[in-house]
Amino acid sequence: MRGDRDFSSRPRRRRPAPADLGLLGVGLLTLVVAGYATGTSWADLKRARQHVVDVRRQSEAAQARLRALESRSAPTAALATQALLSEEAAPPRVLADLSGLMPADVKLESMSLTYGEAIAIQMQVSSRSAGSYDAFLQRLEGSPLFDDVVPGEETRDGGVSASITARYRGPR
Amino acid sequence: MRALRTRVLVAVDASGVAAAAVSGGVGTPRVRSFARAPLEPGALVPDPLEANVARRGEVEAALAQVAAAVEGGRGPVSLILPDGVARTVLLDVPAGVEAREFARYRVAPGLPYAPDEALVDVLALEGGRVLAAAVRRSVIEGYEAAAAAAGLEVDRLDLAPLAALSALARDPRGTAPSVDVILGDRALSLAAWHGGVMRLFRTRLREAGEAEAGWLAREVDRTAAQAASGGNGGPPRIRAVGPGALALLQAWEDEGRRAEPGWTAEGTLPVEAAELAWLGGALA
Repeated sequence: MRGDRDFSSRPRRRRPAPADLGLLGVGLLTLVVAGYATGTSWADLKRARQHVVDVRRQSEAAQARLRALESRSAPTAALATQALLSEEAAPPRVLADLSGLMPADVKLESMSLTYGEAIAIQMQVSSRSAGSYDAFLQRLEGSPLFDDVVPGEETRDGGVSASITARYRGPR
Repeated sequence: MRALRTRVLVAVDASGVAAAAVSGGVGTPRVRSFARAPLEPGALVPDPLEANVARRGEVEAALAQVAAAVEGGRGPVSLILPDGVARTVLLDVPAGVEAREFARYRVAPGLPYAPDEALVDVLALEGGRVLAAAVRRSVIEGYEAAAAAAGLEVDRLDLAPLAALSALARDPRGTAPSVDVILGDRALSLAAWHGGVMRLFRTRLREAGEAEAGWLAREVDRTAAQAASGGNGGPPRIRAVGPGALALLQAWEDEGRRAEPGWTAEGTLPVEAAELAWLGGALA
């Protein structure tokens, strides 16, 4: 009820009341705290951005190292596989498995083995009868030891003379 | 916070100048120091139109005397003008309207002087009501000039009846009818309340003499009846403040009329606090 009535002919500039000064102080304090918080936030943001840059740089470096390792590991792996196959699927073993599929009148004329990530077989066979050759070819295609069987040139003149390529899988 | 600091009030009226330094919070004021300097009759004449300070030298001397006696005359003071210098109107302020501007709009056209000569301010009341008061600029300037010449640093100017009402209005009065009697040396004011709302505010010139108590009792009854406007009247609660309040209360008590002083205050006062209507400016 008291209010701030003033009938002065020239109203004076009011002195700020303690409560007003208190509120002003609170306002200034809030401003300072807000400024500090803003500054801290900017510093945090800068640190976070720097961290992202560092992580990205580390990631790129790791990817580069990975690519380098992968590029180096490919022949190494191939060599390792080749070495493994040479030991576990030596030519006598391949030859024995192949011979096991041949009918009695089919004869292996020549054979070459290429050791890589797999064992490629290039063979030349002859047979007295077409039926025996077809039977061999059928056994070869059905054998779990061989795949990618591709009949090549063949000559049928009573008997059969043909080339065949295949891939030796070996026992798994 | 504001109410805890010491406030210095300097009040002028026809019979003299008084000052008090009041400290303490709202509701528990304490009068730290008090001073009074009498004025010879005619030195200051409260009037709404003519210059009030008739003999400026006497008034300035009295002002300087009380100011020096209270708080060493240092610091800002509230200068409180007497009853009888203002035109007062009770107004309902529409929502969203600035009360002081609305009061000027309503009061100024009816004044017996140019509207731009009016200094208008309000006492806010419950229920969106205000008690608006308009004082002629030349009247105010006369007081300001005397105070400045006396070395007073006037912080604000208030009117004794509004200062008194600002304190009386804070007192819970319920919904029963009540009348506040605010006495000045030359004029008096009657504020009638009903239903917890101020319904009527009237100003009268005082009638000196023994017959005043009876005349004033009839004025109180008439004012209370108008405020009740046909509602449940009953005897109003009556409170009185201002010069002569205690004598008035005693006279009414002798006639079997119940009334009470408007307030009391702690501290050393050479007079009863209820005799100082302007003290309400520190009690509110």
